Amino acid sequence: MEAPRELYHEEVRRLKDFRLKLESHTIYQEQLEEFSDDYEELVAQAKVITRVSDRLQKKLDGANIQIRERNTEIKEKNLQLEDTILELARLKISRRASTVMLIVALTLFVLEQVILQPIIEDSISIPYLDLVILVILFFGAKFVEGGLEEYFLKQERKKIMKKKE
Amino acid sequence: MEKFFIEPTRITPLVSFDPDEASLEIKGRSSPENSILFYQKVIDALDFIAESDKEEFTANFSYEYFNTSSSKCLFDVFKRLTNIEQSGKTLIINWYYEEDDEDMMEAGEDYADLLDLEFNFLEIEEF
Repeated sequence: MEAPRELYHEEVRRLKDFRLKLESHTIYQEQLEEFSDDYEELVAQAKVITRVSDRLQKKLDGANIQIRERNTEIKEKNLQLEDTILELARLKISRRASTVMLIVALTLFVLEQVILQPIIEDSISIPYLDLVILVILFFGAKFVEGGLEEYFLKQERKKIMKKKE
Repeated sequence: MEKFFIEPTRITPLVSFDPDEASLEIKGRSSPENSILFYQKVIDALDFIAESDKEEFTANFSYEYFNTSSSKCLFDVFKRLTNIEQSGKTLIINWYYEEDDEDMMEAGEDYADLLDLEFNFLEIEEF
């Protein structure tokens, strides 16, 4: 048996039959009654189908609203998570930059004490010059530390972006 | 007629028909691309039952969701079930719905009222 392709195939078939009878002027009271029964049933069907569909549409709308709310919640949590990850990365980087700078500062201090200070004492007679040099080295180190932090942070961001992709 | 089983998909429900057991089960979500084509097998199966010598028939429906064209097809399914009842067989219709899903329960009530069929409404925790 071939499957019907139209949703209201039965109702359409009855309508066509009725129209054929109308055209051939062979309508009896009984057939009119039958047709009005069919029409009544179709109206009842339409009412129920509309009501049921509206009800389920409402259910679907409710589910969609819930999904949207969850999505917003997830997006917010993601942003919070990104901030936390970045903050952690910043802390890690800051520690790394401080370690690097501590080593550099120590090296510079030792070099200043061992090489530069004897030269200053022997050839230049400016008071507190070695102290001034130490202060310059300290501020210079702080400045470079900031730059290093920025550089490491950029590298970390690149890594995070790569992971995201 | 042989028994058949249709695996559920994202848009079509599970359908299980067993003529020996005289039972039909439809479960899940129904929004097929072509509802009339999907439900035709069920309609044919019910026509077969109406003409068979079975004395009892059980139909279990557990819908999560169905679209408008499926609701029309469901109407046709229930009309066939009415035919089965009118042929003198004992008809049992179980309409399962998820806890708190009043919309689905009321959808079943609408069909039962329209076609004057008796439904057993059964609430279950989760499908």
